[in-house]
Amino acid sequence: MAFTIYPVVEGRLSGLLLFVITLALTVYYLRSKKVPYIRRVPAIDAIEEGIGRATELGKPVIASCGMAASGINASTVAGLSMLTYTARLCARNDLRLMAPMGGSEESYTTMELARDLVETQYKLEGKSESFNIDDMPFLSGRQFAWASAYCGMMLREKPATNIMVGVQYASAVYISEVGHEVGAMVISGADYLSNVACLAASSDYVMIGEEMLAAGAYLSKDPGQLATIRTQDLVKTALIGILVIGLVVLALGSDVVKVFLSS
Amino acid sequence: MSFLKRKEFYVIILVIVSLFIYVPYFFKVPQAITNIETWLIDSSVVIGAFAVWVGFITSTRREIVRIQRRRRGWFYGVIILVLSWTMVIVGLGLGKTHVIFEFLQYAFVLPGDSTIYAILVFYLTSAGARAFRVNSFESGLLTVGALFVLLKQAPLGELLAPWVVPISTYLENYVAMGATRVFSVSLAVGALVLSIRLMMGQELALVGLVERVVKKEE
Repeated sequence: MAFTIYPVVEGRLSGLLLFVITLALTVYYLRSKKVPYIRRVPAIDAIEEGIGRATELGKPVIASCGMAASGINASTVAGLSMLTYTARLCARNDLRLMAPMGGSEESYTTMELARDLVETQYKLEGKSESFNIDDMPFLSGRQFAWASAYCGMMLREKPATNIMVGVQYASAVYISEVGHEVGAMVISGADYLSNVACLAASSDYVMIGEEMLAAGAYLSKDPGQLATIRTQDLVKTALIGILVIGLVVLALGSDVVKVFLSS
Repeated sequence: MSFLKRKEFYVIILVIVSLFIYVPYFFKVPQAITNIETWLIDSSVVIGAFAVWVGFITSTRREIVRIQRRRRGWFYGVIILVLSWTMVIVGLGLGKTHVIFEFLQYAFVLPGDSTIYAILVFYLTSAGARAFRVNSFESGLLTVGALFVLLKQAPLGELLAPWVVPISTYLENYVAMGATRVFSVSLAVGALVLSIRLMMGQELALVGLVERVVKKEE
């Protein structure tokens, strides 16, 4: 059983409440700019280390914003943010950045966006001549063909660092293991739990779930944006609280929390 | 066109579009608003379809340049061009259900995919061998847990050690399931906050695109 309030669509009331509360908290923290304590995320910090390693070794960096299998979703946006940041650091250090695109048919859309973002970073750092569009080829619209070509690029060019953040499926292990074989530092991030487990085994650093989604704010160093990370923690704490209350209340014979969450 | 230089312009567009998507999802609205929502979603599909062609033409151009300049591996460019254009011509001319298109699909594309997928087993094993090296209490615990699950899943494992089945089932249904739920909830909350940040023009990827427009205008 669930209760409804007109004009809210049936079954979406709790979702609407969650959205409104999150929106209000995010806006509040963005405006307040009170930087909360944010723990270090080793995988995100390692990007700078990876770029430094590439500069020292004089080798290129290879990065991917994922396959974008279902279009531009949250993980792909996080992947694009990470690619933008990597491109900025590479341009600053006058490094060659290779970003093989593809993996799904939807990746064609991401490709144009990614090329624009990377080129802009090189231009903003005054290194537009260092940007080479051939380093961002569209390899294939099929997952394994893309992964094979990605690995081929790594085997030929021997990059110092492999950064792969975004939507990743089974091919992620293939890419990260080949990265490991060629001696690259592998930094990865995925939103698919089974994949995260495999990537944890095969990568030097891995971003787990929300770490990847918060990376854009974490890297911006902007107090307002950093403060929005607090929203995630608060909402999560509230959800855990609801879960515990729900369990207790259910054990006492009332399904009020269950009804509320189904509403 | 000075408004194009202002970030607010892009944020306003984002907010308007987001409202047309969010409002009909949560509220009962007049049909006209639902139509706008449908139109916006359809437009993204159309834009995506155009992007497919843009991407295809770009990659064709790139391969032609590679072949003309005899860059390393140019011969593979010839193969890519021949195969991709064959698929396009056959697919567009004869249709996706035609016997020739299906032959190309089943004789070349699928076996290639399956081969790469099969190779993954070896990569997973090598990654697992590194991950399950026991050098601390936690890694020891992980290895023991993995052994139980492996024994249950492996052929004959259940026959050789029937006592692992309840332990493995418990690990899968409670320990792993709990972690999965936590992961899903945190991912959903993270995605929600990211979408709000994006809507407010704060996310790095969007800022990057706006920088591009400003640069072009200058």
